[in-house]
Parts: sequence; structure tokens; C-alpha cells
Amino acid sequence: MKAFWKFFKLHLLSDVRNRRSIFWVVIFPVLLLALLILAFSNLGTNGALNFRIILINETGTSGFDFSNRIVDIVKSMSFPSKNAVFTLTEMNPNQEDSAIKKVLYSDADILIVIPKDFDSSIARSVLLSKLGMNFSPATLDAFYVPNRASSSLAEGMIEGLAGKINAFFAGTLGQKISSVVVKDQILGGIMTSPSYTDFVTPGILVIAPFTTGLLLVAPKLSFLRSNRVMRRYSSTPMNPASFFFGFTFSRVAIMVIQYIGLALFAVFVMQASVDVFSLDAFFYYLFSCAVYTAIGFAVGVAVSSAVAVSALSSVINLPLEFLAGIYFPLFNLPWYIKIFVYANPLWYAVNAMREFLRVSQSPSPMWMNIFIPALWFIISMSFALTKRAAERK
Amino acid sequence: MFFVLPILLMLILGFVIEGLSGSTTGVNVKIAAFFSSSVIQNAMTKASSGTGIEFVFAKSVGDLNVLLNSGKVQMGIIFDKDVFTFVYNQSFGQYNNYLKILQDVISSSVVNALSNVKPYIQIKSSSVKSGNLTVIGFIVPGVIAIAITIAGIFGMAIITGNYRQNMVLKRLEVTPLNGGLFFFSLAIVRFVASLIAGSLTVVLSEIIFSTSYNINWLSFLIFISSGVMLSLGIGVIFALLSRDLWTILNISTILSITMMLFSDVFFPYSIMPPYMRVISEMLPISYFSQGLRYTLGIEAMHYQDFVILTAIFIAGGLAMIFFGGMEILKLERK
Repeated sequence: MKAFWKFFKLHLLSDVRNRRSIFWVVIFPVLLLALLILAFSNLGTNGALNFRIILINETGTSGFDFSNRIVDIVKSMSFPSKNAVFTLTEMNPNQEDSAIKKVLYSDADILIVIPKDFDSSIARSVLLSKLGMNFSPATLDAFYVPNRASSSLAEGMIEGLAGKINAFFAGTLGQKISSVVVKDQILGGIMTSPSYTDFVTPGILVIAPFTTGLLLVAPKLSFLRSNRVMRRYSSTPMNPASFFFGFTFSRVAIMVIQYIGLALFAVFVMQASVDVFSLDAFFYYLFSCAVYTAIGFAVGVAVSSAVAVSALSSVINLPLEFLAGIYFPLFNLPWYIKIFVYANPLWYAVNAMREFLRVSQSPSPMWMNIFIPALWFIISMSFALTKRAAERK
Repeated sequence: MFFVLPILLMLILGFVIEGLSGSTTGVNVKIAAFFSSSVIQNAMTKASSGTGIEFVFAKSVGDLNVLLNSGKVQMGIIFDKDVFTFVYNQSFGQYNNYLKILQDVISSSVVNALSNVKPYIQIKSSSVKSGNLTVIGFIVPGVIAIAITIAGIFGMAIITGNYRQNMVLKRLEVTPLNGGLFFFSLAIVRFVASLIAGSLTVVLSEIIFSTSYNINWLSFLIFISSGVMLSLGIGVIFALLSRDLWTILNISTILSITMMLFSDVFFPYSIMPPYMRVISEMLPISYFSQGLRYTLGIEAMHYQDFVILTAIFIAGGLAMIFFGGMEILKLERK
């Protein structure tokens, strides 16, 4: 027991005093959380939309002012108006080629041209409509780049606008327009309206111990092995279990401190409304810490040089983190990538933590959220212990 | 790292972004819909034709939830008794904001279909072609730009930090070696590796994602060289900041993540909040990916802009390598 405490204190204190460890344990996850919230929390929300639209009105003076109404509607949706979604540039009819080039060269998202005969077409349509006769709609020309996301979205907004204008015309002609109530709901949501901060906080509480497991276990183990420290330990009467448990528990202790610090930062600084005091979440976190420490052991034992450990850690880290549904949602993936996602312990951990922190229900069954990471733990520890035993011989 | 990182990132992000886009050939949104009336169902099918919105009609709300949960559709719509409910999958997180932009378009289409509103005006959309463009084809250059920039910054910062920490540079002060040239030689080794990795990534993306680029190889190689040079230069500047290798690594990590999250590679400028747009416009990755898209024949760019961008990248990169290298050796003499 005494040896255990010695090792526990030694490894805990050596990391608490190490700038590199402090960076990866404290600064990195805090900064990552802050940067993700800053980058994504307002993406696509009201006030963040700004499509660059060019409008060319080719109509002359015809006695009707339908085209001017269209211009006014677009202006009312453009900056500096309240709730604007467009930045409007008006150009002359003789500048159409130049305007198309602006769309082509990404200087604008969409070009709308009101053709010469627009006013008379509308007047004809309204008249024929009143007489109950068939008519051809007046046309607004839109020029856009279909596969450029901003251009395609701008085209969608203009289509929506046309729908509203049609409803407006129908209304002014005395047609009854159905009124509908528009609601939205989140499937699997536990919170009524989780913010991006709520959504990402469980993810960071998974990434943080995983990074700690990889970077505070594997390189240290590799250092102890390559500098023959482990060999020297084995020549002492010390029980190897004391080293193993002392070292492991010092990592888990660091991860627990990490949880407390991150959770408090998320709730009190970033205003997350997740249930950080959930005992279920904390116990699952402890279980995850054991799994990530085991993965760290496996990496540290698999290769001996520090450079190889760093390279192997990056190769493991990158796909596991990106395919855990933390940075990007996972949708419509091919089957061979889905297999990887379904084998990814981080994906299950994020699902479980979101449920335990009362953000949303886990899309995977809870037993799988425990079983798959437990499988990683067993495989990693078996590999580490077998490799270590073979090295001792 | 120079070889593996760009290819690994291209594969992972390629599949993720391709999946999110709903299609390899266009910006498609798949929506599960449950309408109480078949009339609306028919009207919606007609209205959505050619819009990039594809409806998958569900027989019940339960079916709709299954489709949404299994990730076969990006969002759901339930229309019953004059109430329109848009259903989002919680695991889509911030991407739901992106989808909510469509809410207005869809609800106004349904209102018009319900009220039998005749189309007094219609939008005649014409595509402005800028090359053989697919969604994944648009993303890959951004991913290559990110991977090459990160590999360049890290590669140069790590070797420089390592030499500083292990006093290798201190020993060089007794030799007549010029600091700028020494760092230039270090950069050239990494430059060649990055260039090969970048070209290999493009070729692999063609094979895996059928990107069908119309590559101008000369412009591509010149531009990718300029981007590599710039990222190596940034790596040298980062190495100036500290003698401790791990501190350099930490700074590089944070700045690389910032560059990745705030560039216009994954999300367009049009849906970014103003502060994010400003940061994005300041980041070299945004311009690096734009230039790459141009050389791959999928985005238009004024030729003079391309030349200026390439010149700035090369001049900036070389200046940072030379002067940064000289400065590091000066610091080592103190």
C-alpha cells in the first residue's frame, strides 16, 4: 500500500508540475470548448445569415409598379433593415454580364433579374385570374451556382420569397389563404431547446479524458520503458501491481480534476444548462477514464520511441474524434465508415454522456454504450499485459 | 505525418461532409414527410421537383421518427390539422440551424398548395457554370488546404523546436552557416514531401469520390507549392516563440484548430455570424482553399487575383523562413 501511495503521489505531482500536462489537461479542452462555441453557436441563426444578392430591374415605366414592389420587398429584407438576410446591390440592365461574372467569381451569391415585360405579365395574370381564366406566371430570372452552398441557399430563399409574393397577390385578389401554425421539435431531445453549448459540452467531457489517456499515459510509459526505468523497478522488491495501480489511479485522479474543472467552466462561464452533478454521468465518466487509460497503456506498450508513440496517438486520435459526432453530425455514411463509427468507443461515450447530462436521449442502447467501450478496455489491457509479459522474458 | 495526415483527413472529412450534403452531385436535403392528406403530398412532390429537396413520405409519425433516427433523412415534417411541425434530429447539433433556413421555404410552399394559390410569379433559375462541380469536389480542396497547412506548420515547428531544445542550433553558432539558408534547407525537405502528399491526396480523391477535377497541373503544383511554403514559414515563426518544444506544439495545436474551425471550408460565409466572417477572411486557409479550387477547375477566380495570391504566399513563406530562421539563430547566440 505504501508503494502504491508513493507511485500515486509521484506521478500525480510530476504532471501537476508539468506545463505540457497542464496544457493538455486544462487549457486545451477549455480552449476547444470556447472555440467551438464561438465558431458554431451562431451559425445559420437569425442575424448570421447574409446572402449577397444583385438585383437588376429591366422594366421601364409602364403604368404598373409591380416590379418596384418586388424591389421594395427585397430591400426590406436587406441590410440595414431589421432581421435582414440579404446584402443588396442594385445594378443597371446594361451591367447584366458583369453581374453574372460576380456570381461566377463568388463576389455575389445570386443575381435576380426582373425582365422588361414583368409588369405587363403580372397585370395580365391578375386580370385573367379575376376572370377565372388560365394564365402564365410572370418570370423572375435567377442566376446562381447550384453546388456552391451559399448560392444554393440564396436560391432557396428567393424561391420562398416568390411563394410569399404569390400568397400576397392571391390575398389581395380576395382569395382566402390558409393559416398554418409552424412549430419545431427536436427528436430525442431531453431539454426543450438545447443550445449548441449544451450539445457540445458532453462531447468535450469525452474528448478531454481521451486526450489525457493518450497523452499522459502512452508517452510516459514509453519513456519509462525506453529509459529502462521499468527494468530497474523490476529489480527491486516492489510489487509490480503497486506501480500499475499507483500510475493508473494518478491518471484517473487527473481526469476527475479535469471533469470538475471543465464542468464548472461549461456551466458557470459558458452558460451550459447540462446536469453536471448527475451521478450517472460521473460514474460513466470514471468508466470512460479506465477505458482511455487502457488505450493509453496499449499505445505506450505497442511502440517504444517517443516519436512513434506521438505518431500512433495521432493516427488513433484523428479518426476516433472526427467520427464520434462531436465536431460534425454523422449522416448518410457508407457502410464501411458506419462500421468504424459503430466500433468507435467515443461515439458511444458521447451518446451516453448526452443522456446522463440530460441533453438528449442516446441514439444507441445504453448497454451498447457500456459494452463496446468495455470491449476496448479488455482488448487494450490484454494487449498491453501480454506484450509487457513477453518483453519481460 | 506529411503523407498520412492529408490523406487521412481527406478520407474522414470527405465521407462525413459527403454524407451531410446528402449527395455527391449537389446540395441535397432529404426530408421525411408525414402529411394527413394525399393532395398535399402530391403538391409537395410537384413543388420540390428540381429544388434539391427530396421528400421521403412516411406512413405514420412513428415511421418518420425511425427514418430520422436512422440517419436516412436530415429532417422531418409533420402536417396535421393546420399545424406544421418540423422535426430535427438532436444529434445533428449545429447543422440543424442550417436546415432551419429551409423551414420558411417549405412552409410557404405548403400554404400555397393548401390555399390553391396560383403562381403569379415564378423563379426561372439558371445555373452559372464554374466547372464540373460536385459537393465533395468542393470540400476536398479545403480539406487538402487544412491538412497541408497543419502538416507544414507542425513539421517545421517540431523540427525547429527540437533543434532549439536539444541545443543543436546553439552549436551551429560556431560555424559560418547562415540561419536563413539552414532553415531553408530544412523547409525544402518538408516542402517536397508535402507537395507529393498534396498531389497524392487529389489523385486519391478522384479515385474514391469521383471528383472529376479539370486540373491545371502546372497552376496546381505552383499554387500548392506556394501554400506549403507559407505554412512552413508560419511553422518557423511559431518556433520563434519559445525554446520549449512542447510549448511550440501547444501553440501550434491551438492555432491550427482555430484555423480549421474558422475557415470557410466547411460552412459558407453567408451563414456565418459577422465576427466569424472577419476571422475567416483573415485566415490564409480560406484563400489557400479558394486558390486550390481554381487550379482544380471547379471555381472561377480572376487570373490576376490568382497570381497575386501565389506571389504573396511564396514571398510571405520565404520571408518567414529566412528572417524567422535568422532571428532564431540570433536568439540562440544570446
